[in-house]
Amino acid sequence: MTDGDRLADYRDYYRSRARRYAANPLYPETAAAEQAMADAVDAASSIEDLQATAVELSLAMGHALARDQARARAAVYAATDEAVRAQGPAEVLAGIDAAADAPALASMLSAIEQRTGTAVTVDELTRLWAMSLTTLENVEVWRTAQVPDRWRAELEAFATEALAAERDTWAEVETQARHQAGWTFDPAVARDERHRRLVPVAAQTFERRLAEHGSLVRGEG
Amino acid sequence: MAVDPAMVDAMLGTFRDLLAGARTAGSTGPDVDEMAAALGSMEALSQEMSDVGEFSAKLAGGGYYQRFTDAYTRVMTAAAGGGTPGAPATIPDDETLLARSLQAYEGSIQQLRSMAGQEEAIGVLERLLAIGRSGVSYPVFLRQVDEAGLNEALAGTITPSREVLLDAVERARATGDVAREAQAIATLAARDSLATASPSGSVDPFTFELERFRIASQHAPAIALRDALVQRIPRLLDLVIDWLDAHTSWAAHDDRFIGAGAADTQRRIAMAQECNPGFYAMRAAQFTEAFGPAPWWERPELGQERAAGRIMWSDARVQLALDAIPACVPLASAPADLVSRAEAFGPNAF
Repeated sequence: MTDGDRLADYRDYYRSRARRYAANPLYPETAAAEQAMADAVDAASSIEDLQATAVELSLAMGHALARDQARARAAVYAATDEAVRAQGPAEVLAGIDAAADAPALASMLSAIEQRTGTAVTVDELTRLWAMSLTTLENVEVWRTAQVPDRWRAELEAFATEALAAERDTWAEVETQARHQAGWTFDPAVARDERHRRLVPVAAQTFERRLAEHGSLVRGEG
Repeated sequence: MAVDPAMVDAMLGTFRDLLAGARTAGSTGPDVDEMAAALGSMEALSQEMSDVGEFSAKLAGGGYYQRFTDAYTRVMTAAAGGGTPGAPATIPDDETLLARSLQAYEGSIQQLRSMAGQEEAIGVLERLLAIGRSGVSYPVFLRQVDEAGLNEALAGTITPSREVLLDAVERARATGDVAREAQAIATLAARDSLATASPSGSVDPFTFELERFRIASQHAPAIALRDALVQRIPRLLDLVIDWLDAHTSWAAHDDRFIGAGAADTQRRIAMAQECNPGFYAMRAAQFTEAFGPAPWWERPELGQERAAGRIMWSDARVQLALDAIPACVPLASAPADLVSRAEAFGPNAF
C-alpha cells in the first residue's frame, strides 16, 4: 500500500468520525474539532505532513469532547435541579484550559469525577430521613388514635420500640457520613428540590414529618 | 481488599506488555503517558475493588480499554509516520499496526471468556476482531470499527441493549407498575431515538446515560408517589376487613388472629375489634393530608395492585369493606348485618 493510499484511507476515517459527531447535537465543539482534523487530513500531502499537526488537533478534540460533555451534563443537572452533581461539570469547564496535554486532561477529569461522586454520595444521605416516614405515621397512630384506654400502654410500647429502632438506623446514617467532615443533617437541604421531589406528600405533611424526625429520631429540641 | 493479584496479572498483562513494548521501541510523549495513565487507572481500580467480576465489568464498561487502545493507536500511528519526536527508528507497516492493536483485544477476549455474564462484550470484541482479520488496512479497520459503533459498544457495555430495555418495559407492565412502565418506555424510546439519529445506528453511551438520568429524574416523583400509595392502600383496606372479621364466629381460627395461646388470640381479636376503627380513622386522615382528598378506594392503584395479585381479597370482600367504611368509626362495634356478610367467608379465605 502506498502512502497515498494510506492517506486516502485516513481521510475516509476522519471524515466518518466528523460525520458521526456532527449528527449528534450534544457535541457541537467536538464536531468542529473533528471536522478540523478531517480537513487537516484532507489538506495533508503526506503522512509526515499530517503528523505535524495531528497531536495538537488530537488534544483539541479531547478538550472539545470534555467541554461538550460538561456542558451537556450542566444543562441536564440544571434542568433537574441537581445542584451537587452540577459541581462536576462546572469544575471541568473552569479548569479544562489549564490541561496542557492528554494525561493532564484525563487526570483532571478523573479527579473531578471522584470528588463529585463523593459529594453526591454524602448529599444523598440527607434523603434517608424519609425512610422514617412509615414509622412516624405508625407512631402517630399508636399514640393518638381514638381507642379504649386499656390499650394505651401496649400501643405506647409499640411506639417506643419503633422509635428506638429508628434512632439506631439514623445513627448508622450519621456513621456513614463521617468520612465527610462536618456533615450534619440540614432540614433546608432536605427541602431542596432534588430531595423533596422524592417525598411524595403535601407540603404540610412534609414539614410536620420533617419536624417530627428532628424531635423523635434525631433527638433535637 | 484488592482483586486477586493473579487475576489482575491475567487481565492487565497484555496492557502492561503493550506499554512496555512501546517504551522499549523508543516511543515517548503524551500518548505514551496517556497509555500509562490509563493502565494506572486500571491498576488503581484493581486495588480499590475486591470482586473480580465487578472489576472486569468496570474495565469493560468504564472506557478503560478504549482509553488505552486509543492512545496506543496514536502511538502506533505516529510510529508508522516516523516523523514525530521520540518515534522509534523502525516504522511498522499497516499489518503490524493492525496486529498490535488487535493484540490488546485478543487478550481481553480471552479473559472475558473465562468469566460469566460477559457475552455482550465478547460479542463486540468478536465483531471487532473479525473486521481486523478481514484483510482491510489499518485506517479502514479504524473507520469500519467506528462506523459499526463498536467503539461505543465496547466502551458502553454498561449501556443496555434494546432487548434489555424492551424486557424492562414488559416486566414493569406484567407487574402492573404503571409508573415504572412509563419510565421504561421513555428510556427505550430515548435509545431508539438516539440509534435512529446516529449515522451508524449505534448509540452514543454518554448521550444515552445522560438521557437516562434525565428520564429517571422526571419519573422519580411519580414512582415515589405510586410506591407510597401502594404501601398504604392495602393497610387501609386490611384495617376494615380485619375489623369486621374480628367480630365473626370463626375469628379465633383465622391465622391473622391466632396467637401463642387462646388468651393471646382473644387479645388480638379484641384489639382489632376495639382499635381498628380508631386506627383506620387516623390512617385515612393521614392519607388525605398527604395525598389529597381523593379517597383511597378511588385511586387507580387499588385496581392495579389487585390485578397484579398483590392484594388478594376477592371482589366480594373488597365490596364488603367499602360498604363498612361509614360504620368504621372510632370506638364503634361492627354492625350485625356487615358481620353476617363477613361470616360467609370463613377463616383463612380471601
